[in-house]
Amino acid sequence: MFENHNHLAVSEQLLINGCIAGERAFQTKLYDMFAPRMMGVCMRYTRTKQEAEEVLHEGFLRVFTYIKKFEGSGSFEGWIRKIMVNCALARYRNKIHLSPVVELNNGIHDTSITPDIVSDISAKELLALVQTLPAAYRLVFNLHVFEGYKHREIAEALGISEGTSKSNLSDARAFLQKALGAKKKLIHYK
Amino acid sequence: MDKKLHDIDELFRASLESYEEAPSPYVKERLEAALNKANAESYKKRFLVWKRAAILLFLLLLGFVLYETGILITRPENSEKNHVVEKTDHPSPNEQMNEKNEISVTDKKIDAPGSLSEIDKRDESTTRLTNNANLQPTNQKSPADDSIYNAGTGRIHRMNSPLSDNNSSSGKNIPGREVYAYTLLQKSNPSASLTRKPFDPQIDSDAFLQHLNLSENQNKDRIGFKPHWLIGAVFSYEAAGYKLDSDLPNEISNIKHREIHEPSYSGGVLITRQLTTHWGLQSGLLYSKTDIGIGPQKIYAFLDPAGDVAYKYVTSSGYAYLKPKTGSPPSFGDSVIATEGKHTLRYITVPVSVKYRAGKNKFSFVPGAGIEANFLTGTRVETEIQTPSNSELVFVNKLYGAKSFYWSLTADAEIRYNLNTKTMLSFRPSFHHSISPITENNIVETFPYSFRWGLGLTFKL
Repeated sequence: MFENHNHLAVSEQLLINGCIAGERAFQTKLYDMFAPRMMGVCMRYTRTKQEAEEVLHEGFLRVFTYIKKFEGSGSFEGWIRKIMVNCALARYRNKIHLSPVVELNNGIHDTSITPDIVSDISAKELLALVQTLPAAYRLVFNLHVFEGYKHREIAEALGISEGTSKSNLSDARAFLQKALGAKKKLIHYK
Repeated sequence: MDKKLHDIDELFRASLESYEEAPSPYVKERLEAALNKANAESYKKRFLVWKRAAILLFLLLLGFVLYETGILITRPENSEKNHVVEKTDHPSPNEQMNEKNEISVTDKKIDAPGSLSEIDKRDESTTRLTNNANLQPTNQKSPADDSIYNAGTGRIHRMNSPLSDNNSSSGKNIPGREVYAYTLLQKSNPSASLTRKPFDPQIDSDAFLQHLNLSENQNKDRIGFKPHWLIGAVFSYEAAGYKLDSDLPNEISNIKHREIHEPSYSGGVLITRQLTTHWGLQSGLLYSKTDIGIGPQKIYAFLDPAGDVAYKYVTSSGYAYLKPKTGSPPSFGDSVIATEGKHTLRYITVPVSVKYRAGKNKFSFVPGAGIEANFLTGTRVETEIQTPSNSELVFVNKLYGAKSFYWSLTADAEIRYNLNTKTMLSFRPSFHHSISPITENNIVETFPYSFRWGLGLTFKL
């Protein structure tokens, strides 16, 4: 396994060098290697697949443009992922204040969420739930849950206050809880 | 409640953290097109730098030529100090002694001894050889002696002698005109030439004449040659070809089968610095236009760098995206037949060659070899697209995958015919072969070569 890891590291370095040299074959290989995973990331930050593909396109363009600046200190995949997230944030940064206000039902907090419920729901369905979140909530939820950002960092990244970040995260959770409750009922009926 | 909410975080993270989904192929195509566009833009910028550098180089070269030829600067008439006789007001005492024989030498003619009346009639350039029979080989060499004969150059220098006798007709020194020469017959031994020997007009005049002839013939190249500039215009007919390289042998054969070079032309200005009698350096600016005919082929629609769908037309020098102006716009994957077409490449070339000149009289053979920097200045693709409903002539001026710069080696065998002392007619067959490909990110790597038969007119500055 260790050998495999080393082999992977060497291949990754070769891939990076080839991309720095502008070799199209290496760029294609890098795209094929990371595009599906990055598409998953982009899907969480966007409402539709088309939007996700736009972000993915912009993200890979930036990757190939700035790949010579990758210092190799961290994970290469993490570096690409960060670029994708930044592209997604740039797309919504100026529109975030235009997101509609969501009215939450008071009863939704009583819905109990258990792992067995989630296991009955496919990842694709969960992704669809995240995509239904308003942009402001979706971004905060993603940054906090998947990227591990603190509220201060989220506030800086999105140009909002920490309070707004906390509020949006809370609302996003409540929204998802409500949606999961609805799913639970649906599954129960089935 | 908080715990439940945090559970939501964990549940979503666990499910979606490693979520993967394949993007549609459209994203990859679009990304590739965008990268091509970025490459094209960067090449264009790189080309601008080279173009500016070439213009700057040419201007510097032109300025240097003008400076060297004295067009920019008015030089003093007596600037050639090496050829000016050092004058002295203090001749050695020996020079005041009797002089029995004088021989005037103008060019290669020696007057008979005693014809001093003729000496007065000669202009200032006349060189007079004076023999002083009373002078003995001596170490008492005056400072003026050094200026009379330069053993290194073989030149006879003229000097004034205010102490000379005014009576020229009596065979004595002529004021202000006196020139002494050392025994030139001993020129092979420079140290010996600094001593004077008795002059026998019957023997030494012949010997001196013989020496002058020998000296001029033998030392003409070494002494008489001055580095100079040659500037010429050349126009060439060109027969071109190329060597293709690719990992896909089928593509090489397809392109070779499809394409044929058409007669092409080049022309420009060449400047030569003749450093020695034989060796020179040549540079300049050449403009060349190469046409390559293309046979019919089926072409398919792809995304172009601008994100539009267009027919991709592949050539040995790159690829173009063709957009018919009539009919419905193509969809991704559509195909049409492109009938016969051609693509054109225009380059500006800056050669740097070493030239060797051989030959005498009217004809000279001047072979040379060097390296060339070639800058792509323009491309054009023309073809006719045939659809079931109509046909349309399509042309574009952008060829993707064509490098803006490449290196080549050159060798030529120039034959010059001197029309007069300043003008030469030249026939200049030459061979050029690239040492770097002219394509990048194309299906093949192309290394062009060409034979050129040029006619030129060269002027000596």
